[in-house]
Amino acid sequence: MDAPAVNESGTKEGVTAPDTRAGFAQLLRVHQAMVFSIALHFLRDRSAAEEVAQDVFLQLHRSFDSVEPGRVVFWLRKVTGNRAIDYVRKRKLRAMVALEDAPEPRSQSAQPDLLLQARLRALIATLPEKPRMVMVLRYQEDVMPEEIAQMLGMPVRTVKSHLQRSLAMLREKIDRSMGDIR
Amino acid sequence: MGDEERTDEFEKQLKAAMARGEAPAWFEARVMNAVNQSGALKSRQGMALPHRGWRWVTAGAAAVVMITAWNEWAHHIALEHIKQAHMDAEEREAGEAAKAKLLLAMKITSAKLAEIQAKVDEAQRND
Repeated sequence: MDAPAVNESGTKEGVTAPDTRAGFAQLLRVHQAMVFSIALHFLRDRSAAEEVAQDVFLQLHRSFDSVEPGRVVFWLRKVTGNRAIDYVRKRKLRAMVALEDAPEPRSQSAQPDLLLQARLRALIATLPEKPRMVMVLRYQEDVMPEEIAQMLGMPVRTVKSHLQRSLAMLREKIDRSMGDIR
Repeated sequence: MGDEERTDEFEKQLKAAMARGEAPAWFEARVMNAVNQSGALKSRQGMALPHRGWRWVTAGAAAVVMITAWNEWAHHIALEHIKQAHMDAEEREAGEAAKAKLLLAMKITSAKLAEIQAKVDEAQRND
């Protein structure tokens, strides 16, 4: 991605004035896919995901001075996760969008099983808010349980427990409906 | 397929299912527009109260005005009380003076009447 002033780890390199329009625009360009995808995988509603993602970036703009340059990605994941959870709690949003509305993967796996992946996304959407966000952060963003615990303000053992239970539930339902993955 | 391989394959599918997608093409423009709007709103609010320091100055000035007004009012009320006390005292003194005059007049009248009565009594005796 062409973003010389802001690298993927979120370091605001080369951004001289922190509140400059250019610096913020670069952060937005680099991280919009991550923020939008976390919101969309969690909410499964494109307009709701856009709304949450926009709010996250507006908050980033307001808090630009206080966000540590090396912690932008952590900050964005944390704020997106918590805002998405709040959004669902306030609106009692349920999974209500067709499976095809989920974003298509950027890179296809060697043996793509799109049907299975769609089924997995639909099953994750049935999880309660916190375990669902734990799964999104773990499997979309590859965040370690310790960091997820910091982001969502819960003990590490709770994160690990959510992961184990959610995986067990997914395996059981996938096995039952689609057979073993081979 | 062993358990570990099965788990790896399952998690691989899970990661593929949860892979990042692209944000909508218009998303960046939408956010920048919202940022600009919030900036415009902020500057409008800033025109009313430009700086937190100025809010304290304004609040301080308002407090000084209120304290001054309170002092003026209290002073005014105190003066009114003093005036009223003076007026009451003057009225009381005037009343006392009038009462004294009346008593004096009554005493004089009484003495005159007694004198007249004595004269009348003497005249009757002489008759």
